Amino acid sequence: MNPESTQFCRPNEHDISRRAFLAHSLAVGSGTLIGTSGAVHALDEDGLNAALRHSGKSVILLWLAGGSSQLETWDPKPGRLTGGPFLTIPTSVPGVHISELMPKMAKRMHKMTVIRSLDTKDGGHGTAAETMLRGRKNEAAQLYPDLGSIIAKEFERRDSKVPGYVSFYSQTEGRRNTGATPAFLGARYAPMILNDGMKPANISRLESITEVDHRDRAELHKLLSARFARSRDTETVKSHASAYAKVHGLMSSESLFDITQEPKWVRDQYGPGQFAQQTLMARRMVESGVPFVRVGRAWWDSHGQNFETHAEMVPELDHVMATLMDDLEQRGMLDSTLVCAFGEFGRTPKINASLGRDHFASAWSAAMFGCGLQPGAVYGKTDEDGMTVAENPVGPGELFATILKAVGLEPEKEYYSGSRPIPLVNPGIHPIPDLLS
Amino acid sequence: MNLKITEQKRVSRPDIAFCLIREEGTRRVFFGSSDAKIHTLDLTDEKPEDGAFESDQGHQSYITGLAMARPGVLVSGSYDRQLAWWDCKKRSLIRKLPAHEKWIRKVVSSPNGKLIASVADDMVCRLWNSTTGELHAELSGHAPITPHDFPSMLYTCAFSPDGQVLATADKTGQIVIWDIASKKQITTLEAPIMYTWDPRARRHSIGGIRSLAFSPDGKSLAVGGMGKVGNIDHLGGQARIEVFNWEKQESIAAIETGSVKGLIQCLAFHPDGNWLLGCGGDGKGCAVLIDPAKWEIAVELQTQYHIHDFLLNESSDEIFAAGHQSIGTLGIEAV
Amino acid sequence: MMNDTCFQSLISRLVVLLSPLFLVPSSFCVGGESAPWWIGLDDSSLPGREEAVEVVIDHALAQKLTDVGIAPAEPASPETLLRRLTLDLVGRIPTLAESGEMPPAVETADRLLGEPGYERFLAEELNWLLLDGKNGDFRKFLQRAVAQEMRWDEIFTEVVTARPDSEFRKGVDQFVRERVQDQDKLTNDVSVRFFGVNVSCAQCHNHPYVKDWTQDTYYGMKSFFSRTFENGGFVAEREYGLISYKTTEGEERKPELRFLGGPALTEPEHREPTDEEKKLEKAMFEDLKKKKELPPAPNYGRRARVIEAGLSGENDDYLARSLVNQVWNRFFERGLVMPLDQMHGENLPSHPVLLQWLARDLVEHDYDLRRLIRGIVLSQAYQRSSSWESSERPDPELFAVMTPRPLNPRQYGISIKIGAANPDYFPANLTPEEWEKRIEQTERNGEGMARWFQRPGGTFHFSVDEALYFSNSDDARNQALNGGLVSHLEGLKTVPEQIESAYRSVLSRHPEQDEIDLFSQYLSARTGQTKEALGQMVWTLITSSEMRFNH
Repeated sequence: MNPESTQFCRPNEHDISRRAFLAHSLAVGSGTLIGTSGAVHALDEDGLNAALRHSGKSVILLWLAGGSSQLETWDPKPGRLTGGPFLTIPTSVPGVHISELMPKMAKRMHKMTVIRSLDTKDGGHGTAAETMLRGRKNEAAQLYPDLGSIIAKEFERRDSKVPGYVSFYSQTEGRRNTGATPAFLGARYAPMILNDGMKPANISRLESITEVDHRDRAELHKLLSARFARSRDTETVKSHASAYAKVHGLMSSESLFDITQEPKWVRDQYGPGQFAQQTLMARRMVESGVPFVRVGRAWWDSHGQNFETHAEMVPELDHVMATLMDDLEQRGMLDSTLVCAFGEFGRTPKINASLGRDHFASAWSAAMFGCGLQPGAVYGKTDEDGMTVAENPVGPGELFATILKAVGLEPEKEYYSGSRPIPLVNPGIHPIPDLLS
Repeated sequence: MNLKITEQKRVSRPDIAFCLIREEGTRRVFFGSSDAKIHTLDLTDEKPEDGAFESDQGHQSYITGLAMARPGVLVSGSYDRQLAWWDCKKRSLIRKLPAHEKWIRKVVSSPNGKLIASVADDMVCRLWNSTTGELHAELSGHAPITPHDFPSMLYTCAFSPDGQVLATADKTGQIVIWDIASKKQITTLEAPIMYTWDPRARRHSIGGIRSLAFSPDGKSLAVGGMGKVGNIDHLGGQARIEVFNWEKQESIAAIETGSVKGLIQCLAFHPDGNWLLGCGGDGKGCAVLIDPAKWEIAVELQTQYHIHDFLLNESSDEIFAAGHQSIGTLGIEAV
Repeated sequence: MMNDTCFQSLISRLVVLLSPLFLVPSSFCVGGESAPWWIGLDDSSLPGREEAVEVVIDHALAQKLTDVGIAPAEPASPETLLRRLTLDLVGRIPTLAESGEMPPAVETADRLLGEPGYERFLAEELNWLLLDGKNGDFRKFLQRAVAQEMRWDEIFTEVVTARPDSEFRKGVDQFVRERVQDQDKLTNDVSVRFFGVNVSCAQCHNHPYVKDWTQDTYYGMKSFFSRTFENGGFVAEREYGLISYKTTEGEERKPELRFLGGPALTEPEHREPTDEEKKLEKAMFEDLKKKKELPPAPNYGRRARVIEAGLSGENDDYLARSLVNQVWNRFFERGLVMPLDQMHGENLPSHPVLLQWLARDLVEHDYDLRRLIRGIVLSQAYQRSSSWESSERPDPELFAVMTPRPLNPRQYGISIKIGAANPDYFPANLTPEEWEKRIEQTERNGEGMARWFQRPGGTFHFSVDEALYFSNSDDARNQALNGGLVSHLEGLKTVPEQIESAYRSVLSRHPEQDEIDLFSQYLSARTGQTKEALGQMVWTLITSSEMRFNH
């Protein structure tokens, strides 16, 4: 045997593997199906702190890709040259006005938690998206996990058949900016990506293979992959086995992806648009135990014709958010689900000659509701023209920490990247108490 | 046709001027602004002094339409859904009324001065008695929702020179022709290229018909907007004008610019039909002169500022323009 | 002896390596030098210019490994190396017949470098680099160009000139033509794909990290392309036209031609033509459009200046360095500069002297890619194992161990076709012509499968979509069951023979004892449905992680 092959072959481990396989094969005859969570899973174990695992929390991120305008949504500036043409309306929170484009959310403001003072300093689509989705920028020597990966890791049920993290992004613009990295959390927390339609392709077993054979084959696959990965501990290698490990769980939850299983009146309530239907699907998934769903709504980047674009897209956002809020509340899910809506940055108060607004990260807004948040809170202020933050600036880290804390996680909790301890947010970053209930 | 257009005077401002009226026989202009006020300038002056119509009861948002109700009385329309009548000399408010359920896009007066037409994103055109402000008619026929399930916009309207007919045009490229006397639809026309819906990359739309002008003989209708564009984040398509024989519902011409890009925001024929002028722009501005004999572009000029509205002087050799942070004039002359 | 720059670069690298301990972001800039890293570089630490490429590579890498005190991985096994070379040079796994022979690596490398498959694969990779793998006339142009051994600087010239004025050049204009409606995209794509420099960060504001990069830099680069437009399906260019832009302060500026932040280039005086001249020009272009003719090149063309600028003096190092970096990245899953599109002067490579040496070597040898690639694959660094036993894998920028690289879609598709085929389809005694014909056909079939897989890039994670495709699609089932291998296995007498044959066909190696035991158990329990069971075994192998990676 050449030296290399001994690296694959650890007698004890492979005996366990073989025994597990044999036990499984023997059980086949008796008609029972042993789940795949056997000893082989020992390879996936990474020492979670069980005390900190809170079951049943979920997060839906409405990702407003391209950068929606805070001036046409949550932080309007009526009467100013930077304010644009839309008027403001009062909300159910006394003294708080938002854009007339969001009448439904105005009525529900007392259940909302809004930040108006984001100052995130990065006006580049790719880098800003990377930062907003992770609470911090990746470094050359260290990748950080994105929100979805963290929530999936923390709240995915052990024997879960549904994915831990689903991402919808059906438009093509800006899709690449949302590359999710589980980083040191592990490849199994990478998202299931649904870019074409709402259902993964090839989710049903072929008639030409029996259930038993299908599983036996998957077991073989797992054993061989583990063998290969033993001395090739890279994220990409591990992600290969992870992808296959998800197959059976997904197959058994095929009906989850069928939106026609939702009554027509519910589908009609959300509306016919792609964004609306995907948000409905997000609720459906969360209801079935998926911890994190991101619904990408691209593309808000209105360098030209900002008011036309927002007159078109903001009422949709208003309706979808309101419907989602009502839906979650009626199902008793509001206390265990956090919904947040933001993009990579906001838009310039200055209006350009195409009647557009450009990228702007110095003073913009994010909106949230649900689990662990302080309802009716409107945090931070911008100046009268919306050019700078006047009170309580919030960076990407603070927003991130607040979301984590709201769902019951400790942002200072440390994970291990190799031997290096890494907290979920950078040192010195804290959640904002005023935003938490 | 050997003409050229040159930019002449330009008055820079901090606001955006959307609509323009000129006092006949003078170089005094009135324009509606993004600061919710009507302003006036006498362009004879080297450095014209700004005069604003101040009122506590005035508009609350962009003034997008201005028309002359009668000499000395202006009507303005705004995103605040209101129409307002103003005394030009006193610069004071005469009356204000809630005119639409959504944002008013344009206000025009009929050739005989008796009616004021307003169009808004509630997708109706309303006709008003220009003196009393009474509602005369409501013309409803444009779809409130686009074919892609989003709210639509009703951008523009224009009377025929004899005042018997009115055209209205919307976001999706639909034009409706109305008979004023009967207040009914006569016919419809389509210019769908001016509406770009992007289903794949960005999943929203851009464009729409922004300007209309009947030819002096009333038979042709020119329609202005922007051609197809790939990246709908910007006004990156060629400026586009289509011309119809509206009675026969026939397309006569479809013209796109070569180098300038953007929307054609305003159109006007020479009173004798010698040419058709369209102005607008993207991040810059444009002025396009078309020869109706061949329906070809005779002059294509990139201007310093995006032009939202313009008027011609009595001899049709001077253009008064209102636009992005600018009020100015341009000259049309033989080469 | 190290000079200041060397010392600083060493400190920077140590900061990078030690930063995990100090939580120091590695973009921390030591020394504050504003000159690009390649100025004043001392290459006395490397062997002379007459040394072989692989010797220089190993020397440079070994130096750093010694500095940090890490011993590199063992050499890969001969079977592994053969598979790796075949995948890397001709884009597929070896056939059974090819893996029978185990000559020294240099012979295998030279054999593969001489095969037509090398050229086809290279053209594919260049097509990915320039046009994201799009199918079309451009791809065919690249195939012709590579077959004629066209130099990279010539390819660059042809692509940016964009004049398809001959059968040979048909399709060459696709790169420019597809981007001409969006000049920002054209500017940035030329900068990124040819020069490794993403200038778009400096479009809206001065570059956040590179001090000297202002909006003038961006628009100076864009100016090369501002007169280019499309005319009736061809790329055309005007003689006139200046662009302007607004700074973040609202100041309007007219930029001058500048190549990647370099000095302003002198141009003939610009004159805006008269309206009459414009009319004539417009009529000319309209006429050409009607006749579907290629417009003539302008008397003074700005776009041609970017070619001139890119190939002159020290500027051509951008072109060479970027290509070296891309090629290096292809073989090591990591460039000497990362990210690949940040090859500006303030982003220090992991091995700056090596990169500069390789770039100069490439230029001095007329952009001979074969020479560069040969040198890389003959290095010890390339020939190392991808296995690493002890705790953590070393920092990838040390190149101490080979990183397992996911096969790209084309490689995977073709390899499945070969692996699951009847090994008798590629017997050792085929004539070269027949063999070549069959390989080409197999490649085409494999390309058809490739559309199911994602092109790896960055930190790649396999999606569950691929796993579902293989687990549940008719197509995947067909590949495994009916590719020819299963029929061949059915004809073998014993189970161990079947397992051996399957492993050698698909994974290009002999099975280990535990694997023989595993599959023996599996197959013996299914003697009633042999074909199906053999099909599942083949399925397992073609979908295994080992097959999926170039390890």
